[in-house]
Amino acid sequence: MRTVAIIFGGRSTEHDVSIITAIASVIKPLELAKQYKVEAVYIAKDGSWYWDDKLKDIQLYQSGEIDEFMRRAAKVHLLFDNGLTLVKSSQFAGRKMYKKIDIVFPAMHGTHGEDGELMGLLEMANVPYVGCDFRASTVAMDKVLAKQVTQASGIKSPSYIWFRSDQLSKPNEPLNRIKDLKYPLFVKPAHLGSSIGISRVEKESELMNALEVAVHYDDKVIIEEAVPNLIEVTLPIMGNDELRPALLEHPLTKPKDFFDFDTKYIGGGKKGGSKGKKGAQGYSEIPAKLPKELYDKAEKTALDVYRALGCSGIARVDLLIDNKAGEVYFNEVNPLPGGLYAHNWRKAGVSNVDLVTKLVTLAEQKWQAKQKLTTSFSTSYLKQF
Amino acid sequence: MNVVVNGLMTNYLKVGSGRRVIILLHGWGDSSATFADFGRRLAKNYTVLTVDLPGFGATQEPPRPWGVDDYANFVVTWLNKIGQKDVYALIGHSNGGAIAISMLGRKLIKSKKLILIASSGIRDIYKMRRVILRSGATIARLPLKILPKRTRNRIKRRAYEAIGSDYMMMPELDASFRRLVNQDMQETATHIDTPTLIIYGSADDTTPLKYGQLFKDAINQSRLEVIEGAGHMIHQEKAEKVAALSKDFLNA
Repeated sequence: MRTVAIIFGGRSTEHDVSIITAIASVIKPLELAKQYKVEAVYIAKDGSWYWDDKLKDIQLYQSGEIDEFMRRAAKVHLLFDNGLTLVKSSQFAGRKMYKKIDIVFPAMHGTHGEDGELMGLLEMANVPYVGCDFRASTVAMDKVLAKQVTQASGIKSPSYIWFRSDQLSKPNEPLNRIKDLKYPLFVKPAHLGSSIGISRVEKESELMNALEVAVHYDDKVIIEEAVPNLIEVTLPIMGNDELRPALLEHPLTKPKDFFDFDTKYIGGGKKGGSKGKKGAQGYSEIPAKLPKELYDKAEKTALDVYRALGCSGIARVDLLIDNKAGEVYFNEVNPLPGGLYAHNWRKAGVSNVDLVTKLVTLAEQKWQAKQKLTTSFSTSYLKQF
Repeated sequence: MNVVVNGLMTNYLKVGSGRRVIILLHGWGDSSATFADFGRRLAKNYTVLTVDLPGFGATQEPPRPWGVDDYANFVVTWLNKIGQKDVYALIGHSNGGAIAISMLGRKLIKSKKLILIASSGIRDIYKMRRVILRSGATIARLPLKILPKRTRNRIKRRAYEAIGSDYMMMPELDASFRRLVNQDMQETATHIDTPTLIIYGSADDTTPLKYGQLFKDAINQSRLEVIEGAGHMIHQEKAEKVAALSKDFLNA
């Protein structure tokens, strides 16, 4: 039986989301598949690595007992032996425990994980891993690079400009370039996932505050025109060479300029006073109700994006549709969608168990194909020295 | 919506579209979400602005422990930053009330009306009780030190719950909290010349009705309304009643 290690948590704002993705959408279905030995590798917020079966229990994190666990548990060492082996000291007289990993399933979101850093490490270890490789991940998690690469393949994006945060110390130059754009605009940190640090700007007087917010989070900022008559859709896709799209999904969130108490918070309040209703987020239309022609156009655009960025395994492509003009624009790519977007795959006829086993198989296929490439050969270079 | 105020990433909400602007300030350990129901009722007639104060909700923690006046200065800076010049009314719950008193008592902004809901800011009633408890706490803390941190925190939390303190709700902000509870707002309140509505619940243990009476005595043009049987989270427990009282007062 081969061993799959799920790596999750990490030094990211999406640390907690990653725990849920790992336990509910990866570990549980992989164990149900009964084809693999499943190992949980947890990266704490401080960057320490732990490996233990106890880490598979969501209760550990919910109850806060994870702090106690981390105080007692031995940290894990990684051994690169043309593959990856987990090493930790056991509680018995410091004997070392070894576990050779056959496949890694990264389940991390955001910085230091989804952005290619972890994949680079796994690439060095020469171990098969699920999902996009480090090149695709790095490009995908930079909104500017992703637009530049897809544009070179003829895929449309809303008009945008970008600049580095240090350019804001002399704001005239970037502000002049922004003058070429049509309001309303969106100001976004280039590297951050989810909607953190994003502002919608209606007029020039609001611009500086929005830029300040974006540079608070990131050293690279993108400013883009809002798409009129907007329908936002997203499409999870899996595959290496042969691609399989799930269903086009239309998240039913309220428009970004509609501010409501519910959209930002669900529950909260002190002394259990606030009941909190379920917010608008979390509901979506699957498949999106679009005219057949527009649906197909959007699906094709998403597949084109996936190929242009060199994605493999799985990714989710977000698109912006101008409903009146029938125009489809590329927005961004998530190399590791939260919860793998299993809810969408289920509607597309792929169960959670099928999804994770398929992804593991794709990882192995990609790795095998790579082994055929020549990366080193003997030379007489040293002898000639 | 986000805005950077004095280097702190600040989360705020703007709802409604009335000409008159109302600012809602939440209490300690709470967030702007506390006003979900109450705020929505007011938003039918007014533009309602509410902010997560530093260290709460989605706003960053202050760089050092803050007192009431620091929070008040922050609110003023935030309003300037978002270009909000005219304020029709300030409404503060619990510690948000103390902050509103600091803003108006120190003449940091102008507001046509003030509503204090179960406001804190009275420190001397329980002063003796607190002094005794504090010295008790210092002595009691010594043997606690040998216990593991988790057990220690659990015991501390129980003890603070027993004496009705918010202290353990935000352990990382406890220094700020200690500064807050040592500040009395009565003197500042005497400088307020804004018409003020004071609302308290008769069953409030955190900020008892007596505080309301003291504020009523301190503020010239003020009126005290008591909601029978209501506790400290009065704007949630009796949102309809509190909103109705507030609207009558604001429309007058």
